[in-house]
Amino acid sequence: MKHEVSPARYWNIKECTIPVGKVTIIANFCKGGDDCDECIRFCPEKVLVRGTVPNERGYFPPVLVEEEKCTVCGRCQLYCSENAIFVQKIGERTVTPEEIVVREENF
Amino acid sequence: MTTDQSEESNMEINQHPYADLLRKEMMPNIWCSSCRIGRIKNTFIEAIQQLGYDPDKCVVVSGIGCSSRIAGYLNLDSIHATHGRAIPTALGVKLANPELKVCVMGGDGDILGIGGNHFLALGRHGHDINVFCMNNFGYSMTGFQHGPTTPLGARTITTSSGSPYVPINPVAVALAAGYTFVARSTSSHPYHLIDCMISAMKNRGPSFIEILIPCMLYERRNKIKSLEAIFLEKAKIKETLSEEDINQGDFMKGISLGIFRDAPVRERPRLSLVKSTKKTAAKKFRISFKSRASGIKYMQIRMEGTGGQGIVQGGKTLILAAMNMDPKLNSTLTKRYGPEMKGGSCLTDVLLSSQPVDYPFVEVPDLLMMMSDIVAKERGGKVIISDKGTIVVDESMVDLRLLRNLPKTVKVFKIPATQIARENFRVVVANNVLMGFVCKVTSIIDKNCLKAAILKAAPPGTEEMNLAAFERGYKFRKS
Repeated sequence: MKHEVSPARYWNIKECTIPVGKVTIIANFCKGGDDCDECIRFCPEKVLVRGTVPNERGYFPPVLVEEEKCTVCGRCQLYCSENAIFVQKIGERTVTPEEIVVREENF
Repeated sequence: MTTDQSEESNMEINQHPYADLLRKEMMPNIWCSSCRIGRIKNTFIEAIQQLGYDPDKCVVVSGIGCSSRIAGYLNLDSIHATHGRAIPTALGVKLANPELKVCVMGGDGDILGIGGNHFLALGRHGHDINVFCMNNFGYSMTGFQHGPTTPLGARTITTSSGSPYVPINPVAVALAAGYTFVARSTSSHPYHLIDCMISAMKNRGPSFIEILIPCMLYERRNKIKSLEAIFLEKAKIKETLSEEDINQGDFMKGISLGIFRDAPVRERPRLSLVKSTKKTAAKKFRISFKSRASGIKYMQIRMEGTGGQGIVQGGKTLILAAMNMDPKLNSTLTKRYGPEMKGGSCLTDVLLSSQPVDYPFVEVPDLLMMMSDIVAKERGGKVIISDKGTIVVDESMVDLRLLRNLPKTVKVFKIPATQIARENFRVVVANNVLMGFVCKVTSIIDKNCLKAAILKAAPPGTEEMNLAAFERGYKFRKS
């Protein structure tokens, strides 16, 4: 692809740091449930799970389980049709050698 | 929704990275729960943010349909046009201000079904308009009726036992219509779609992207569990595409995604050939004439006959000759004929007046030229002529019994004009034979004025024959 948008565009490969993200879920906009689970399915770090508390329209918005794992890949905010979820970069952390090995295996 | 909650969600949406381009007062969206149209909206916002376009210089035009609601949720200048007419509206925007980046968002029913002609015409016109067509295989907003892209055998409301028609291929149509950028993508490959959209907006000609999106109603009617899973499994992004990839038939077997064409805008062919042929048309004949005061106060001339005999042409010649003779005369030309080109009744009214003309039609003609009797027979065999008028009759075409009951003050002159024309020239110049005879027997218009008018009114290349026919009619004597 010519104009490639990498999901890892926030990563700093030279200094071996990885961003730490803050995930915000706007529960009232969400239409998740049996039909739509895109943010949960496509999250590479498995940060989200399906929630059990319905919003006022009867849908079940997702819930954060491991927030510190988010790497601001931005997939959930691109895949969400309702713009009910977005991520912001709040900091950076150094990647440990063991984690790099695991990531290289996965990608 | 309580006020606290809505305020809270409003606060949160303002921090969204797409918040600048979203119309927050319209949200949440109206689309179904599993609909992927919102994702196309996100990819479009992402593409605009990556290109760094000024939102004030972007326009989104859409028609009617589920996917056309995108224009309502984008905080850009947008027009929600009538059904199928999104592309003409976008063309108007583009012509009014060529600096704007104009995008058309619409569904397959809007762009390919009802606006199909405009879709074809845009490829021919070659303006920089990006058409993003979201193909969900039918008219889904009204309950999923059969549309132009419904696959063969697919069930919809209107084709309950399977669609019997082969669908059109939008990519093949766009390639044939002359779009300079053609691509296919799906909503399940948003990063590929962003790539295609950026390339399309950079292209300086008409660009077209077919975006396949799953529709819940299609899944339900055809008992497919998940179209998105099929897209993710079967679709393949290809760098180089062959002709087989264009003519893909069933999307259940395989979908090829990618950019089919990314070409610069073609140059338009120049019109020099047409001009040069017009210049070389012969201009040998020139006839000088003298204008004079004619002394005509009010004269009504009528020429009647069958369509194809040159009745309208004769009227034109006559009025040009009258204006050659006396430029101060006021004159009008009205013609009446049926829908048929040849064989119907036809008449031309010419009014010459020294005063401005109030009523352009002839009531009772002073000079009547009858090329055939079809008009008189339609009128019930009645020939309308003023008491001191003149009738010039084409003997070979008119039944002379019609002229029996006329008052004796009416002068009648006869000439077999059509016969003369057929024997010596071609039948089409019969009106000029008659005109020459009229010029001789009545002294209304000078000869040279009429000849100059014939030169002006005759089609190029036939001047010589027309003038010869005129001379023949002028020299006619009854043997």
